[in-house]
Amino acid sequence: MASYWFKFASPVTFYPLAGRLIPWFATGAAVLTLVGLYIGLIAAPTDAQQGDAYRIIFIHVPAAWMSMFLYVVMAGWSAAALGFNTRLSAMMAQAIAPTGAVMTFIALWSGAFWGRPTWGTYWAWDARMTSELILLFLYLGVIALRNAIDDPRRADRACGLLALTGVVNVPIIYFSVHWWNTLHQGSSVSLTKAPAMAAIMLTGMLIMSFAAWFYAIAAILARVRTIMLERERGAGWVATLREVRTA
Amino acid sequence: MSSFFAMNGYGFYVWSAYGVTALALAVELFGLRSRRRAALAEARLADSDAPPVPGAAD
Repeated sequence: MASYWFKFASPVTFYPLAGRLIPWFATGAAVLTLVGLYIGLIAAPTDAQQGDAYRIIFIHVPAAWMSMFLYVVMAGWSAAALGFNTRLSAMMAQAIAPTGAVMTFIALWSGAFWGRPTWGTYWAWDARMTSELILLFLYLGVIALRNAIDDPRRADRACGLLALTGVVNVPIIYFSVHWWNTLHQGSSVSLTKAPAMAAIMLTGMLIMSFAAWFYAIAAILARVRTIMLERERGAGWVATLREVRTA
Repeated sequence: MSSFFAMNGYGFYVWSAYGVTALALAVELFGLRSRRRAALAEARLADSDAPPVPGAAD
């Protein structure tokens, strides 16, 4: 059983597997986005307090969740790469960083355009926003460090250490609204309390969150395939790929 | 329809958030496609540099 799963830890078997999975996740992301946008922009009613400005929640919260979650997953693959020295783990960590950076940027940007009409400012140096900005710098730092080191194996170790060190920032982001008195509001969704928002708004937000999940998985699988081509270019299995043999 | 885009006066904020999100995702997807094309082109070059693999030629 264990050997069955370890089979997929090799680029030779993971490359075609990822290729078969991508269309499903990409289609799922497109369908969920259309449904989520319909609920968020058309079906859900105008908020009594915030007017239509609240509709930014349907991209802001899913992007912010993904930004933190992807960092934890990237740190997990980095730990596996450092601990077991497996090729695929390091490639997965490398593939996650750009999508994580995009999600973090979207969370910050949509937050700014939500903050301006509701709080009167695009930006404040409060704990939630500052720690999310640090998350963006951590993602960009991992990408820049990778580009600065020629030897891929050395880059794996350096980026892995940076990613693992930076993971302490994720609980700081998550709990910042409890630990400090922030301009940013508390959690929109709690597992222990009844939802504070209307059911249709919560439904739209969860569907957009699943859309963000599917998008991120499709994008990361596509990127890890390209990384495999880049890093294993001289290997026999790459040379026999149909997309390499036919121009 | 114009009231949909006006968002009761919040149109600038809502569409700035949604528009730039769409742009950011489009940039990522375009970057993914061009990076894959470049990697495939490099792989083809590496393939033609290498000595012929027994059985691979047909």
